Amino acid sequence: MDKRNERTALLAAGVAGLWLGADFSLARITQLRVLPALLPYSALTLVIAGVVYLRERFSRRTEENKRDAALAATERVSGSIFDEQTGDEPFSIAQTRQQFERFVVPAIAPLLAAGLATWVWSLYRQLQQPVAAPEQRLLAAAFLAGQAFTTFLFSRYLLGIKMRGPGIALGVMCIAALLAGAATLAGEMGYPPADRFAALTLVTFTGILAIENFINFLAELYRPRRRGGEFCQSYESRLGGLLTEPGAWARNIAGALDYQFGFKVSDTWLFHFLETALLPLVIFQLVVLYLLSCLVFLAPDEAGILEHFGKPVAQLTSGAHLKLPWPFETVRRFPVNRVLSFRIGQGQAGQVEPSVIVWSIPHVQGEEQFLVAAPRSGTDTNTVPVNLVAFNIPVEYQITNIFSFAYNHADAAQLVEQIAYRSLTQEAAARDLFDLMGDGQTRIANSLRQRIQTETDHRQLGVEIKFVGLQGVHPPTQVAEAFESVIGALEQKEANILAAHAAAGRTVTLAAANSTKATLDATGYRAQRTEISTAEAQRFLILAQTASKSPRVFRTNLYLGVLADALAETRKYIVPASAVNEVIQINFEEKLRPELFDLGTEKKEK
Amino acid sequence: MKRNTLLLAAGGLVAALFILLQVLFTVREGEAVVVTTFGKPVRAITDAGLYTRAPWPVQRIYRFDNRVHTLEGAFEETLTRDGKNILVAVYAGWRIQAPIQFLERIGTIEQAERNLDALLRSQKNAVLGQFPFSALVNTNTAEVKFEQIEQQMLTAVQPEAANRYGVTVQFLGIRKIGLPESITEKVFARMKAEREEIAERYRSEGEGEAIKIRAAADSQRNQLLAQAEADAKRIRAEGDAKAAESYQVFEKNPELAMFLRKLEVLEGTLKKKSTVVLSTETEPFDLLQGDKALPKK
Repeated sequence: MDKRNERTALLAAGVAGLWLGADFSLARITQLRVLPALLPYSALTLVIAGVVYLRERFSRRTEENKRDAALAATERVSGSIFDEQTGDEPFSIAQTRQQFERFVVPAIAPLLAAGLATWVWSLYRQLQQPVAAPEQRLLAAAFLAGQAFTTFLFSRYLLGIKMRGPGIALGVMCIAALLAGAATLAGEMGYPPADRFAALTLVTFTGILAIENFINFLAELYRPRRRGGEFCQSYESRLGGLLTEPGAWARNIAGALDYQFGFKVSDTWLFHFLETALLPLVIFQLVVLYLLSCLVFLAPDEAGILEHFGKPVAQLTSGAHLKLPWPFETVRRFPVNRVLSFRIGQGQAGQVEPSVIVWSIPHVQGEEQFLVAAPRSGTDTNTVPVNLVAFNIPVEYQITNIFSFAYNHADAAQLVEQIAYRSLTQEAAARDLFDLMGDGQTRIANSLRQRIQTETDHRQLGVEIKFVGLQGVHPPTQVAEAFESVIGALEQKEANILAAHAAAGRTVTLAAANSTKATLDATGYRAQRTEISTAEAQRFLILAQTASKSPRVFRTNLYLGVLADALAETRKYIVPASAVNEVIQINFEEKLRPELFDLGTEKKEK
Repeated sequence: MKRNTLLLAAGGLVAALFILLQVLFTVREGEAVVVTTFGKPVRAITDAGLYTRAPWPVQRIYRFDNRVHTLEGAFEETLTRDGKNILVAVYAGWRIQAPIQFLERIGTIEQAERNLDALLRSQKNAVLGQFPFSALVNTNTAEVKFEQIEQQMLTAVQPEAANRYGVTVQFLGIRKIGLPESITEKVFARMKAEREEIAERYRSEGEGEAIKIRAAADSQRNQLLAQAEADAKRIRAEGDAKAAESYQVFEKNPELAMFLRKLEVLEGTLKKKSTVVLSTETEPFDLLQGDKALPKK
């Protein structure tokens, strides 16, 4: 059996591998962005050609085995002692082919999808990074032209012998190489962005191929199968087929649908109509798309500058406008009605401040600190003490002259920001920290706004500074607690004074009360002494008069009366007068009066 | 046949567009274009409009943005005349002055910014080294020389930029000044010390004021109490004097007066919780002696 198909598939894989290596080397030499984006196409062709080679090989060997088996059957001598077994051998090439078609081939599409998706992600990240300026563009362009030419010829040959998989893959590779070559040439002719644009296009299409492979895999899972029907072709790109055979788009679609639904959809009238009308429709669509460039719609916040062959001829306001199509007339848009804003000192733009803002907790990342002057505290006149302060100042401005804003500066918004920083640095460097944080904030904000406005006018930026807010001025986070402790000390001072006032009030009030009490006590004493002494004098006079009548009886009576009262409740020991020489022991520990605890004991004794 | 005609027309249109793009080009407002013939610059165009050229590879065009570009320099450490380390960032506005010279010597805007940045850094450090730190930060505005420093840097940069690169530096400004990290820490320490000194002053003022208030109150209390004590003594003396006047009647019968006084003392003393040891010779306990104590008839 003929091995031509196997050799062709192997050759296709070899060509793809060769171009893969060549493109890789060329990318290292020239630094062109488009060349790494071309690599997945070569790799895709290599894999598909490899799979087709294996399929062709298995197919040929299966046929050879069948033929050998048939030949052996005709030559077999009947009536031999040992009957040969009939049926497929377990490790025959037919079995291997069946296993390959059943398990390996369907897995190709998802593996390709995963590999291409990973490659797209890696290439996209590479495109975001800056690279050195490309070199030897002409060499690369010539090389890519050669690649496109050889792959085109080989692709047509493969499609001609119905080897569609590698043929389509090589065709797509040819178009990719053509695009890469054109972009490289454009770069050489003075359009450097063409390289990046082409790279982005190729990466995007690689991503589309990854998605297509995944969809093909899903479609293969749900495809109705007939015994002895077609083998799996899910790695074969339908989109690639549309690109490589532009004259047979409708046929490709029909073939794809026939394959998917299992009947001849392509025999319907709709497909015949599409086949004939597709190209005029596409051309008409392209013309309409081009003519749409005659219309300009400007949003409510926008104004535009109409340029006729690059020369500004009119200013357009928001709404719809008609103009000549590109490249005769173009429009530049600017948000002139919108209040534009930025913040000074915020570090990264677009950060949202927390709802509670305190000095001691950073409220944005990368808060910037500015130098402010501090009054000299020592005697050394050479030293200039400085403080640091954090600013978070919103600046709002509006475009007032669109032509100045558009044409005087490459990046007018950036310059407004630079001027705002410069003005703030100058303003802060000549101010004391407490001027900036104190009651002069409104005055300083106005001064700052005026300073920025003067400079932007001087630079002909065509903007009006609407607002500069100085509300976000505070000491840096590192020293914020020290600032807060001053307020705490001030509070403590007031608290000490108030406590002293309270104590003083109490002391004086009590002193006044005590002095009044002492005076009143003395007054009472005086009254008491006066009254009692008067009464005692009168009593004495009365008693003296009474005593004069019977002195002895009066005195004895009075004496005994007092004694009776005084001794009524005292413990008394009466010692006989005769016991002069006796020693009398008296126990003074005996209680005079019963106590509460003794009452119970007495009762018991009773 | 019709289909082929359509295809031919579309192909012809694309080819015509390609040829037109090769011989016509526009220069937009704010752009500078240099046309080269076989690589040699032959003309520079800065006026907007439509122009013609020979197709590639005979003539080739190079486009540059001819508006003022703003270059932001690095926030870089340098020394002032008085040896202070500071960080300074400057920005500069520049534009292409001679497009052909620019193409020959620089080629791209990015490269121009790299070269200008190096030039700017060099001149910035040189100029800042001529001024003291107080010329940048000072509460005395007469000593601040921001604009003079900027002007001096600009004057130093302009001729070199024009001669070397074919660009004109139109303006230059000091974007920001700062201090290196190690010095920043010291400034923070000083700021903290300053705040702590003020806080301590407030606290000691409070304590001092409180002591004064308490002392004044104590003084007032002592005055009041002394006055009251004096008044009380006087009043008590008056009472004693009155009493002494009244007790003059006791002189009429001093013996009786003393007897009455003794009785008062006796009564007052014995009413306390006490134990009394008495002799049977003490009246009325002499009655306990029996007949001996009975009155003799």
